[in-house]
Amino acid sequence: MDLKQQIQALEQILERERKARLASEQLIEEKASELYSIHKEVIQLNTKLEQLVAERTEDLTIKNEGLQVATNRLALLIQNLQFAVLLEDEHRKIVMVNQRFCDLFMIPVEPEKLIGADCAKAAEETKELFLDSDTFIDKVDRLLEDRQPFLNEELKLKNGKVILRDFIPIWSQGKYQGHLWIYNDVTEKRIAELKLTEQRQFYENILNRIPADIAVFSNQHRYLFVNPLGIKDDALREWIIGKTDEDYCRLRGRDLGLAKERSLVFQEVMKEKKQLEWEERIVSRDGEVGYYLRKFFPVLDAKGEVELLIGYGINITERKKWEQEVERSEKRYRDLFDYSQALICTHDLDGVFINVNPAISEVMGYAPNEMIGRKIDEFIPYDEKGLFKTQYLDVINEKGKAEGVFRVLSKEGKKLYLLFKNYKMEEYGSDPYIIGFSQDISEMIAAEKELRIAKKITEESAKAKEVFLANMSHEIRTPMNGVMGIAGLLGKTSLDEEQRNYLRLIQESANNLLVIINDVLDLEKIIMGKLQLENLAFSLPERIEMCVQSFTYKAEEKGLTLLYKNFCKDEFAVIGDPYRINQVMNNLINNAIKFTDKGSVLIETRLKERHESKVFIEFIVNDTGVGIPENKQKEIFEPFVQASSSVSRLHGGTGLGLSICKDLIHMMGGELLVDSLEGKGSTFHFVLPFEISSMIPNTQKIPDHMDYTSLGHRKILVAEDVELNQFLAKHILESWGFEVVLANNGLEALEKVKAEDFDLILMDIQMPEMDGIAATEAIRKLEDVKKASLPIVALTANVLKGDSDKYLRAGMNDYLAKPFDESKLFVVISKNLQGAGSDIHSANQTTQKISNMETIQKLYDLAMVETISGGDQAFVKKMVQLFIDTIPQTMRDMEKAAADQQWEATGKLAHKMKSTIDSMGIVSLKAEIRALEANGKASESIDQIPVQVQHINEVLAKCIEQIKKDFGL
Amino acid sequence: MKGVVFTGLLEMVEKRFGYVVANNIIIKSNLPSEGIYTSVGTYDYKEMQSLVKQLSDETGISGNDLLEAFGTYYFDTLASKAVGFFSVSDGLFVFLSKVESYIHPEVLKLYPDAQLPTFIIEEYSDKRVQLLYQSRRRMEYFAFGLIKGAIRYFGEAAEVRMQIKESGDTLFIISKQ
Repeated sequence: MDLKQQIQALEQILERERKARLASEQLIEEKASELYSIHKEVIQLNTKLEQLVAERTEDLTIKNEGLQVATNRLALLIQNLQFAVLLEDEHRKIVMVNQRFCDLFMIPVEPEKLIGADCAKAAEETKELFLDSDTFIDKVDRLLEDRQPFLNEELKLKNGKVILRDFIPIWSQGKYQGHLWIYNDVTEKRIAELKLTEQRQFYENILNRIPADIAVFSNQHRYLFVNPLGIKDDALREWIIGKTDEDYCRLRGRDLGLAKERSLVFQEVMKEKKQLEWEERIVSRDGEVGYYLRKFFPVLDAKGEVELLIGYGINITERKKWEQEVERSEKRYRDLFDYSQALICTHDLDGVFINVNPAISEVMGYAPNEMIGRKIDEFIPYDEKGLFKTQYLDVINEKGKAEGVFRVLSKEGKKLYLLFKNYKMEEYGSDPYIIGFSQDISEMIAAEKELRIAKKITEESAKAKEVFLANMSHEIRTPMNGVMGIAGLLGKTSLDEEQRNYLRLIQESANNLLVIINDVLDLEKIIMGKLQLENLAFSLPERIEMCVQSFTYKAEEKGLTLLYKNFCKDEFAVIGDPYRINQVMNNLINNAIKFTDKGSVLIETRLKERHESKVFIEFIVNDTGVGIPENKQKEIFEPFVQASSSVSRLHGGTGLGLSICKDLIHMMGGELLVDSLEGKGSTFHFVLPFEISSMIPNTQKIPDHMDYTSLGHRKILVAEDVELNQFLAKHILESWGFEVVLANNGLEALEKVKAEDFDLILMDIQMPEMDGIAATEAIRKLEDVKKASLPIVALTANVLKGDSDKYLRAGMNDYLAKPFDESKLFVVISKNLQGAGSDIHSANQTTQKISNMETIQKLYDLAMVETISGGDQAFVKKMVQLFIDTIPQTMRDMEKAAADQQWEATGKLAHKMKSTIDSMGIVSLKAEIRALEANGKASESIDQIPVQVQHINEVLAKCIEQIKKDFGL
Repeated sequence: MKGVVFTGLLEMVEKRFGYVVANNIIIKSNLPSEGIYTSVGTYDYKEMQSLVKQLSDETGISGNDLLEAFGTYYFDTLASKAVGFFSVSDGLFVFLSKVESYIHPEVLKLYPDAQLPTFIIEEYSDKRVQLLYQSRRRMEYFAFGLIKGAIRYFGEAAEVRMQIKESGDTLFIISKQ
């Protein structure tokens, strides 16, 4: 860029700047002239204003003089006001303030000196004095801004003072002139008010919380006060003040009767000047009944006139309900007590009746007032009075309850048994007493006594029957043994055809007689429940086969086909009673042959079911005989019944056979059934269950032809009192090549065993001097072990009692029923000769055990009591307790009577004791007590009486010990 | 447009490009005022447009950039003249909010013939202010520069973005980090 250019540019710029300056100067000049004219206008305005002010001032001065006087007065007034006052102008400069203000805000300056002071910051400076400083500041600001009057604003100072503040803005001709603050210190007033309020609240709280209606009435019966429980509704409660109950009832649409009733009471209280109390029944709108207990208290003034009346009421609805409930339940109990059939009484701890119910009174025959107040033991028989305290009163006092039987005497002297259960009642606030419930069991006891007698009679007759049957069995069997034995011996001699025929008839008749006897005995055993089944392992087909075989001859004789078919293909042994099955099959086959003239008798056994350890076998006996009419098919199983009366004539028999079969089958778990068509034949069949035996039974087949000499020479002792039987045994045994020694009774047998050595003893059971059982026991106790372990086989005719157990327990090795035949005798002897040694030891042990048992044998037997009780153990216990409780006294009485030689009294006591001894089953004293009774009554054998009494008492004492131990008493 | 803006522009041109360039653009612009500006006078705003155009031709820098640079430069001048209207202690956002509500009315009291744009506050928060610029004279880049100058003046860490709308208005978004 050349210089020329630059210079030109600078010249141009300079020119522009000059022109710009000129333009500026022109602008300034214009502005200056504008200013000048404005200044002149201002001066003019000012002059005019001064003139106006002067005029105004003059005006004001005149007014001011009057105003000054007023102001002074006002100031004086304000200074003396009870309030703190602060007057500020519109710029918040103090116009006026009084001493109280300074005092209130603790300003240590005279009020006059504050005039003109700026209040703008006063609020900020004083805010710390106030409880809520920030709110205070905000509030002042708002007041000053709103410029609206605000009165009675409560302020709280930190020092606890309470101030009421008024803010009064001052307006004059629409212009705000300032404002007035007025502060009123109400601290003390507030404290006083607060105390008053607290006090009032305290009383109101009490009145409000008392669970009662409380009202205060004027002496005109107008409400002055009522508490919230009295009237719950707040508005209503306020409303009632100054009103009456009638007003209230009208308002609420209630019955005016209530108001009238109250009014009457009110008048009464006014008149008497005494408090009154009454019950009010109020039915609410929903029908609920409420009860109130009301009271009026008069409050008297100095002159003694009624000034006020205080009403007080509590809701007693609940209490009333309870009272009614108690009344009702008391009535219920009273009715129960009065109308109960149970005997109810109460008595004190000394046993004095407090109350008795009509039932007792009726039973005892005494009127209630003849019993109440008297001691119970006055009604107890003389000899039992002693027990009343120890056995009853002391017990119930200690345990709180007692039960048992009282014996009491009615007014007529009748002895009554009362079964009682009494309890001791202990209630707070009253003496303990006893409530008793009892029941008159006199009739029951009488009935029991009768029952006992009846039972005794029954038992005795049953016993007699049993003894008779046993005897009959024995008495018949013994000669039968002879008949059959001799017949057997006779058969061994050489006889011609005719003789042999006679012998066969003798044997057949004897056998028939035996069957009849056995049937009668079996039936008796079944009826008595004394039949016991064996549990032996055996082969069923073999047993049936044997049975069928024995009828071969009979069948052939009648030209009948007799066939046995076994359909049980499985090989197994069963457990059951082979003898009874044999008996049943014998009977059925015998009948079948008996009632069949032509055709066949078919026997079958079939396997019906097989389980793991059980089988069901069906037995069938079928014949082509006469059959049984349909209407007789049921009856034939009844004892002593046969299909027709002609049957017995034609075929004989007792009619017991089928009945026994039926019972035996039933006992073995089956049922005997018959299918029959008259004239076509009959089929008897039944199914029996059997356990399967794991053991293969050792079958004892009696060989057809036995070699009686196979046992060689043996020495046998035969203990038998009947000569015929001695002869028979001796002959049979000697025919086998044995040596036989005879003993006439057990004692002789024992002596013979001691003196000689034997291989075996055949021991009769019933023998004079010493029976077979005693003899066996004696032999087993011998010191010589060899002799003590001799095989002993019982021979018995006592089939009725003949359970094998009894003989085996006595130490015998085996038994054989009389009458026996030769082959059976041989089998049993050969068995025991071989196996005697091994069995004897266990038999010995059993004997030992039995004798131990006998030494601790019970002296009493409660079978009768238990029977009477019908299974009620409590009754049994009661009876036992009664025995323990009562017998010692009788024992003492009896001892005393005997010592005093009062034989007759002793006899009477024995009589009394007799029934107790019987019912307690004290068998050992049964005879003795009767002897004592008889001796006493007749005053005979008087030297025996004390001994008897002593012995009886000893046994009874032991008995009591045992019972106590057994019952844990 | 007040003369003070013109004198400000020319002052900047002289400082940055030399008085020859300043003279040249005045001559070339052929201005009605012939470039004779007093700060208190009032001139047609088109003269500003002419001057900027000439300067752009002369320097090769776009007119908008020049206007923006001028704005940034000019803010300090404005601040020194506007003592009493605002102070540094106000802070950037307060200042921005005062432009329309306070500063412009005061300016109008001094210069009743002044023609001023409007700055409407669209959004105001601690972090962000949005200003809507409306002016017939469309000096948005000048305004952009002025805002940048203000940020510098107040020494705050802020940035400004501009969005020119279809309506011709311009939205300035000033945000702090």
